Amino acid sequence: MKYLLILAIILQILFYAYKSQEEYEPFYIIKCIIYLIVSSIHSVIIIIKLPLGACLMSLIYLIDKKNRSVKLRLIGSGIIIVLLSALTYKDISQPFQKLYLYHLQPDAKKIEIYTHNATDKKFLFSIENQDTIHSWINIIKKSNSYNSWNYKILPQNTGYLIKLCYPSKTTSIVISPYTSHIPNVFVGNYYIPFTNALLPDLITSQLDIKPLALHISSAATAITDMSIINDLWDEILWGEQINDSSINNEIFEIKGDLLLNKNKGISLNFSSDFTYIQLNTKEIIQLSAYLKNKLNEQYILSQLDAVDSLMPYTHSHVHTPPSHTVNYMIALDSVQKYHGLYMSNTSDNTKMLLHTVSSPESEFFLLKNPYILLLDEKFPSIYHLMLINQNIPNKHRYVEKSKNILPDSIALCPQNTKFTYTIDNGDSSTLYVVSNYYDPPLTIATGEILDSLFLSDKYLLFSLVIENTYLLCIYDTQLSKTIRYITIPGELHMIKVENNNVIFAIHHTKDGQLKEGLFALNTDLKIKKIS
Amino acid sequence: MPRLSKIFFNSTQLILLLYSIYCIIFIIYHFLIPQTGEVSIFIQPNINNPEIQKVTITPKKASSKYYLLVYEDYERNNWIYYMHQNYNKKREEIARTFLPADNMKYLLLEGDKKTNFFSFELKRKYHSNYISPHKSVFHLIYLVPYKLFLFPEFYYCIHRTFYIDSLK
Repeated sequence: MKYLLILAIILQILFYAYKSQEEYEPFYIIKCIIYLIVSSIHSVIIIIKLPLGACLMSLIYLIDKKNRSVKLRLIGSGIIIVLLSALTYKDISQPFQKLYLYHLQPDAKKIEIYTHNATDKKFLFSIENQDTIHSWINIIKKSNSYNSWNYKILPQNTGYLIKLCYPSKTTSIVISPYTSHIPNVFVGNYYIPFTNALLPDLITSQLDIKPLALHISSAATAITDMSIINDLWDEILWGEQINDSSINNEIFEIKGDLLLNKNKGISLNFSSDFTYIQLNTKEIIQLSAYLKNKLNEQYILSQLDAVDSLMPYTHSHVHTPPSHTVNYMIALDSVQKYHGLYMSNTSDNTKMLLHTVSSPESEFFLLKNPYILLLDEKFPSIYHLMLINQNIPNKHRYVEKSKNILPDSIALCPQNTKFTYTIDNGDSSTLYVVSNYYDPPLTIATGEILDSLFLSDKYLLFSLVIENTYLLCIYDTQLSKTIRYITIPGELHMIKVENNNVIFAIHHTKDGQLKEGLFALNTDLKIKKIS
Repeated sequence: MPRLSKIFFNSTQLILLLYSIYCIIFIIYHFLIPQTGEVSIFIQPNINNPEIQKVTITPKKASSKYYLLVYEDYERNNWIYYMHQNYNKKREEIARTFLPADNMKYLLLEGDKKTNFFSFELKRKYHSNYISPHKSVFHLIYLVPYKLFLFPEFYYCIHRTFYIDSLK
């Protein structure tokens, strides 16, 4: 658009020059054109754009004697063209915005800070100390102006609102978290944009209210997972209020208290599936789907019963019961010297050697016919893990050779086709799964692995400890990925698989009180409390 | 000849007048707070595969034309890692204005009155085997153009930030 205007000015002034030739002059038009073009040249010296061409032409103008008024106009038009093409919107508006900011007086009586979202605001704290007020307003004044000609950016919905209260008026400033090239400070009712990297940190450093834990009084439990508590606090501060008259007060059955630091707390009411939360101001906020699921899960898992002593649990592998006609055993050979895995057929009393083993403590697991998994202890803590086909006992496949496999860790899926085992690497252990006997074992996880159990042929549950937190993880064997991590408020012991449910126990031993609970996780991956 | 010159003169005056009206309109735009309505963002993890997250963006008051620009605030480009194939000039300009200088990967969706929600799935590029609670920051810029007659478009931009948590 600007260039169209410049073209129009050029054409207009040339036409005017053609029309108003007063005296005869050779090469008049060409001289006019030269005057105009040279006057339009500008250069950048020390940042300022100077119309140097116009200066040159005005020197020549002093010598020229004919058609002086027209030539003066040509020089003037050249200067106007320089101004139009060199000035950008930023050059004009930046001084004005700086001036607007400069007029913010530092003597406000009070500064009030609110949370700001699109529809309403919540009061957080206020500052009345004059020195602090001065330093805050100085930081605000150091904001850089943001100038954009053909677009206007409006403030975000999760920010803060600062109100500077003067005796005669109140100035409101909306602050958003800092992003590098998008304004985050919006001053006044028209949201004049500025950028300031220090203000958001200044507010969060002053806002020293932190949530600690969520106590559910109706079930006498507490949820202490900090990531859930922090998400809940953010959603309480910035959640949008729901004005739905169909939600009545009776659905808020779960009553709780969010404990904050400095001995403060706020009471909250939750609906029974944690969809809605009601604050003590009777304001109703809808929680995000993620927080609702997590709160639900943790609520169920934290309902432990006080007991006098904790029951020790050992887990059981999943096995099909051995068939009646064929028995498998580890026994000595006829010379009573070497051990081996024998298959004895009770109907015709024959005993057949399948494979030799190094020690009588070796273990075997019956996979789907005709495979057998044999864990051979070669030396203490050194095992071979191999797959034997009963029909071809001479050909066996080593799954692992000379590794420290934990014998208690081997788990089989209900169909006896897939199995897992854990190898101890010294300071950590690695969990492997074998789904296809012709492929190498897949690593599931490394770390402090506790246990693993197959919930079904598709899902494998394993437990591990990371930084003193127990986690129950769900691994999908079809996707070959861990699909869920559940934080356990206590110590986790996986017990057994029964009726497509994994039964596990949680022991809580903090605060000098012993608490225990038994839970079941079904194939829909939902947790229920049993007993 | 005089009539031609008069027409010519008037047309240049007209251009001057149009230009000043354009400047005044744009200055007024800068002082207007439009009622563009809110845009809500809903993130839902895929229950079977947490590597895939489904993002649904719904503008509450869909105007007759609007744009949604989504980009990731982390230079690893873990979730949005493809480049657009079309070279529409207007879309390039929008992307160039709002994206940080080194980021070339973004999603630019165009909508109208009839389209009132957008849903797309994002998959992580780098598979995480271990638990690392990392929140990926995304920016959404909801652009609503205002256009009067033949003057250029003026965009009102609502900027929202949303997070995708790798553990969800």
